[in-house]
Amino acid sequence: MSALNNPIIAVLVSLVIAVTYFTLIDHYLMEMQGLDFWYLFRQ
Amino acid sequence: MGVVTRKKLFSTVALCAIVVSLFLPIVMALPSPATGEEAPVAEGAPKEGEKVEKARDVYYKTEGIVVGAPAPKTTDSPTDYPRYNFESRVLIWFANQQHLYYGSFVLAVPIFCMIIEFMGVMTKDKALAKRYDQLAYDFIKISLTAYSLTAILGGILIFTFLTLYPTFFAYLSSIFRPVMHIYALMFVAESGTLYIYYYGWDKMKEGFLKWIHLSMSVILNVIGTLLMFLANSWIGFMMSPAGVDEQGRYLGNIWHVIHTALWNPLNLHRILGNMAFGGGVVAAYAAYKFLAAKTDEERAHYDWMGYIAMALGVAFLIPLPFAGYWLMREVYAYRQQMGITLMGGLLAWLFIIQATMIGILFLSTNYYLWQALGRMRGAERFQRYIKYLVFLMACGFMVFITPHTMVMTPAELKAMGGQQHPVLGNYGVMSAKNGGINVIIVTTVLSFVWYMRGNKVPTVSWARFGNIFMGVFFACAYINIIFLAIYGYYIPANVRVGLSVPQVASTLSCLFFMFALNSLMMKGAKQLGPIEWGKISARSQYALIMLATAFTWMMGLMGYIRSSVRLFWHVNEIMRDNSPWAYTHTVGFAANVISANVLFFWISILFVFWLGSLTAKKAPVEAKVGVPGAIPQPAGSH
Amino acid sequence: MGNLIVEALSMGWMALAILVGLLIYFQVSITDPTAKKRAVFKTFIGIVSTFLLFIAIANYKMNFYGESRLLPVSLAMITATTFIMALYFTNLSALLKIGGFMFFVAAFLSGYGNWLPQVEGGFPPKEEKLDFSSMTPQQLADEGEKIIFGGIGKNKEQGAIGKGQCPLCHAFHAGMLGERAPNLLGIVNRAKERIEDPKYSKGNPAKRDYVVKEAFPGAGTAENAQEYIAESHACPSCYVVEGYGVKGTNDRESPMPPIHKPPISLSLPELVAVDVWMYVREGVEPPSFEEMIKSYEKFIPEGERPQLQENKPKEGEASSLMADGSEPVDQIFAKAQCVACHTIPGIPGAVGTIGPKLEEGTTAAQRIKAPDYKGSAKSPAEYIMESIVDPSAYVVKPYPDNTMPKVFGQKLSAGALKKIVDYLSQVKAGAPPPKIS
Repeated sequence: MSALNNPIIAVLVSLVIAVTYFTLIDHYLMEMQGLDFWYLFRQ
Repeated sequence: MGVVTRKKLFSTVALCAIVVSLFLPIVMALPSPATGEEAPVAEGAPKEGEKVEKARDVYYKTEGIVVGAPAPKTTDSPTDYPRYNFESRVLIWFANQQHLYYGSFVLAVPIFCMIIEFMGVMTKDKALAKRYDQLAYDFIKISLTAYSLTAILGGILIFTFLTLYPTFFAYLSSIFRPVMHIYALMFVAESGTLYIYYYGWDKMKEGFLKWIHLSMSVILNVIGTLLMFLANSWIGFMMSPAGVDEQGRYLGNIWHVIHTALWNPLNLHRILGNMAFGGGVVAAYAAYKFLAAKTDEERAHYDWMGYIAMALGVAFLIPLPFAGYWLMREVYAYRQQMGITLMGGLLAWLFIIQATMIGILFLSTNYYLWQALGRMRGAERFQRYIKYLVFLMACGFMVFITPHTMVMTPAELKAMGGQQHPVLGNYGVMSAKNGGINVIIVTTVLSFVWYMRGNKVPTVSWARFGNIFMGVFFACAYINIIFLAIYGYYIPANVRVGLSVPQVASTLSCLFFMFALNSLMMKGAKQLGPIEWGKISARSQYALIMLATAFTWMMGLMGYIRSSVRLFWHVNEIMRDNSPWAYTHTVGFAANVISANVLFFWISILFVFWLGSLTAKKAPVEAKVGVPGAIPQPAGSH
Repeated sequence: MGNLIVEALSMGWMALAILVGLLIYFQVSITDPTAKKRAVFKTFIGIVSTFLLFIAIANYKMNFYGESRLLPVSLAMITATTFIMALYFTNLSALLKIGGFMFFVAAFLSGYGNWLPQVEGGFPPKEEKLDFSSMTPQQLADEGEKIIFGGIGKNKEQGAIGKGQCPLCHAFHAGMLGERAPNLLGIVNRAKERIEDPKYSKGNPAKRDYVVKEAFPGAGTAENAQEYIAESHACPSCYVVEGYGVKGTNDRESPMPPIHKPPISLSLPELVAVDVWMYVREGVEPPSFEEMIKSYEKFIPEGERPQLQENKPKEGEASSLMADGSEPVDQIFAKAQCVACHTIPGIPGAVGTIGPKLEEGTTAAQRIKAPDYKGSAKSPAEYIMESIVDPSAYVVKPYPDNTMPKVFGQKLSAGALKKIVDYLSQVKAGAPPPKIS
């Protein structure tokens, strides 16, 4: 826990978690609708 | 212990029995017509030698035996449309709307009571528990007067129907005949439960009986909700008929008639709407009492009451746009034309008003929360960040209210150089709008988180990480929502719709995770100072009133939209409206009538509140005179 | 404003009189000067507020159904009234202020509603099931005229056009323009001559030298004038009047679409009505309704007969739009009947030759640059829009002016127009047609 009290590490860890989480959400929820991040380029 | 458990078991079984017996009439009524064989018998056996005619359901496409008469073809005559020297449609509009306002208030308040009573039972803090309990009792007291008014207004509504639209009403009631009596019986059950619930409050105060009392509030709400579902089935049928053939002849399956394409979305939307509306009304009541309060004690109580009511109302306001989205999707799925009339055609301007109002609702909620920070010691540290939230909300709001396409004349079209405004038109697409409203909601969530932290400093060991994580999570949520909104511009319109799902998911994640995380962090937090109930500014109470009034107005508006989307049909595509009022009014006229409805409702309900305050003044005197411990007489409720 | 004051006074004079009475009563009865002053002042404020209130009510009473958008002002006035009252009736001040605030919110919202552009949904189309079979010839002729020209008595108007779209190509009066199709003046008599034309090969369709030999296998040829007219509607290419064929086919094929098929889709009774008008206007006694229906049944197989449209209003058709923009673009082209005259690559059935082929992705830019272009369009999209809304702004050679109806600006919604423009601007000569979206 002490390492997490270092702001820089905390920001990094949070970023990793949050970005992963939202990427996953976007990915799966878009896939459900036949969409993805690269839809734009494939068309 | 064993005895108590057995007793509990017994009462639970008894409660279940009540519930089951309540459902019995429905269960009995459903299967017999559903089979389609016994139905003609129920409707009076077909005359001998008469051929059994089969027809196809307009929506379910199933074959059924024709039972009812076809929808009457009306003409503009005194027999079909008798009238006073006034527009009948406005009269029925008024009667309907008032009944609906009171009805939703009366249905919403018991749900609050249930929640608050439950909170009271669950709270370990004895003093707080008592306050919750008293609050729930106060709520139900307000609703009791409103309850009798609802019944009276319901009667007036039926009379208005019978006098102004007899042919149409006769047709509708012939369709719904199998469930009419269930409806009436449920109403009786609702009243009965409500009275027992209210009068039994003090008798069932302690221990196990309290649980019974609490379960009764559950039953009360179940009945109330079913009542509303049944009432919804009428409007569902009018909008998206099913269970009848093309001529409007009933085919013997009442479930099809009830379970139309739009029934369930309407049900959900209305429950949530009622709750938010009920919260608004109670908050306005608290605001009124707060502003009229003479002592600090009173002020503290009503400040608290207003806060709880507002929080509950907003809790149901947040999912409301999503329910609305579902309803809209079903409307499009049912008849695309209907959806277009709503969103891009005749009624589109009304949706612009609605968007504005949603913005106003969220803005006043946030304003209230920011003001409420003022009654907490230590909340000053948040004040200087509020301006950034205002900025975010304003941006979201601006994008949200920008229209995409409108009905335009060729001249206007030429002047604008295309169907969309060269710059602003870009913000009007659904993609950006979804982004806008989601930004607003996330900001509201953020305001709430700040409010909950107002006078506290987290002391958990991971507090610093928690704070940073929350900040990063919110930032990522904003970025994600805005990214998806922008991404939507680059992909075709028909697929772009799909982007709203991850957007909504981001918002909901913020709502759930951040609230949960925040309450975890606030466990055992250091208090910088107490919440000084009653120290809130008077302005904040006007925000509550604004919230309540705006919500009432919006309900009127949405009801008008929902009803007028049928254009010139009584029952969509089945029964035409041939009265002189089959056209659609201008936005301005509708807005005026809605205002009149809203003001009538508020004046009447303020009057009810005022009546309540008269008896409240009397109560302490009685208490002094009365024997200690006697059951307080519920005052002037009917 | 004067009216309002008069109305307010006539409604509220009693209340005002009572207040004035009170004012005088206080003036007389109260002796203590400060108390007197206060009472008088309060009553005075009461009078002013009451007056405001009645003006507000009068505004509602007088303008409720009117065009006035100022009704919400009434609400704002009531707000002012309540706030004034709240100052002096401290017991009720919370109630009055709250009420006043609610009036203010309502005033704002309905003011907003009144400020927005006002759209009124028109009355629904009259629900009339036309029963052609029981009509007198004159009634039938009137219906026919409506189908051809869009209204009774409109047959001499240049550019008048009904759902039958006939005047797009045919002229109906001597000397009127009609180089794409025969002038139909005197057709009921001329029909007899036509069937005797050797090229018509009466009684022996197999010998015909046309792209289509029979309306449908076994239909045979016309035996009388009415049957000739019916056949011309049902199977235009079964016989082509000299000089009116599709260019380059040596008059073997007609540019006219079969009228009973989409996009025009006239039902049999409607076709009969059209014919009756042609008989009646020339003073010729038309055959009976049944006979005429039979003449069409001879050339239109049962499966192809469109149902008589009962004018059944579809959802949202409160307006008279041909297309509202919700349809896919190919349907818009069909509904607006562009396809009858224009060839549009990628649109099924759009093989008309009366107007230019629409490859606007290539041609629009050239046309704007043309030396004789006098329109105001700056971009291809604007040019296309202009050509639809104002066809005479620039007429492509060698096509004649005034052939394309000038009604599309009113008959198509903005959304539909946009879809058309979008589609057409993507059509390029020599490239595969764009996808229909």
